[in-house]
Amino acid sequence: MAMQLLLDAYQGKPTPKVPWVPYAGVHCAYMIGEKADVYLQDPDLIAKGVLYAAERYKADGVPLLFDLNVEGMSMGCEATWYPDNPPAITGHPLADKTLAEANLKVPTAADGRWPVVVAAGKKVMAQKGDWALMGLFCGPLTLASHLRGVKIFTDVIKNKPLAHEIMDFCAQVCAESARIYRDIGCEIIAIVDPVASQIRPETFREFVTPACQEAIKVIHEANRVSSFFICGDATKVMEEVCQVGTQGFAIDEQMNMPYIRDLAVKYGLGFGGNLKLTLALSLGIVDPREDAIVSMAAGGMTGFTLAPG
Amino acid sequence: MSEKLVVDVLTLDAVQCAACQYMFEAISALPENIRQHVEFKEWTIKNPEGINKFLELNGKVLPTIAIKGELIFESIIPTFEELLDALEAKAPEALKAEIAKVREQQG
Repeated sequence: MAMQLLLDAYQGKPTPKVPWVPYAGVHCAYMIGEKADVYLQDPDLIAKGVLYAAERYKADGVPLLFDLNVEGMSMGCEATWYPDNPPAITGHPLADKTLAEANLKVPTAADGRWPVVVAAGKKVMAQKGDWALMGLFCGPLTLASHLRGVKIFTDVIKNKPLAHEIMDFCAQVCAESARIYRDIGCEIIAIVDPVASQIRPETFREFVTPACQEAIKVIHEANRVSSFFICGDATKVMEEVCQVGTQGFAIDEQMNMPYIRDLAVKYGLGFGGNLKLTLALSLGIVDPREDAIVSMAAGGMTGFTLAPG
Repeated sequence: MSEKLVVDVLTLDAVQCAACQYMFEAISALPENIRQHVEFKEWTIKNPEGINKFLELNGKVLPTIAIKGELIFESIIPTFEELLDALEAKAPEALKAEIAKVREQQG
């Protein structure tokens, strides 16, 4: 367990060994014998789960939460809770209303689910060892999807003024989320935008890149380390991810690790991945030990963090 | 009801994964008159049935929309118009008529 090792890797620096981050998420709940829906609404349980996961996995960093619904639910989006998963947003307030009609406000630390997150984060910060607490917040396009539904993917092509209005609002929400994690004390703060892999590069540049800038500024002005997490086959937007302005990025199991390593080295960025979450860790079709060795061999020791993909 | 167009959505899990959620919603949120002519299903790779479907369709990436057995939208969530075009290209006559109605309504 070594926080500085992880911070160095996340900034693209060479490291004497490869740091390791389990994105434990609601697996923390499982490990302490709790249901995910109960766990995520109780700061004591979240703190207990995160601290346990850090010790159990001998981690160099652990996210406080891996739940991209906090912001949307804190603005009143309808959602369904699950005992074995994070909640899922089911209602989109901007599907048939404008921002003004829906009267959405940027949620602060006092709104919605945030007080539970803040209380949990403070408890973890007070007790944790030599590892980094990571604050992960919902990225702008994923948040826009939660607010507008699938229509946002048509808007970014066919109704750009509306898409820009929604994304500008989401940028404000992201910046506030970054402030909340900054104030908790998280050493690493990451934008997590899984749906940003499902758009074209020019759409990424026009909508996602600008919507991340205020949040990135918040993170860097506080001297915290930034990252951008993306899921799926993000090959077509990886150059854009590298240019978004964070100090690194994380990718999933569908990406080719040597390609990602070379891209990260080219841009001087940290990069994390890409244990096969599905094939190895979940289904066991691929041996997890062999998978880890393959990832580490490909990742190298400059800027690389071993993590689930 | 006439023959339905089969649409398969290959996912990690539409509950757990936001990219999969909105790829699936592209189909599930289609107008009712179109949906009545479409037989759609999510296949999550988290269970054996989903893995078998992924292999059967020669899936490459998640999420993917396959229409009538052909991989059409791979890691790209289509615009509404792109989706209508893709459905129309493989649609039986009854569905083509419903797609035309939707286009007419949209002007």
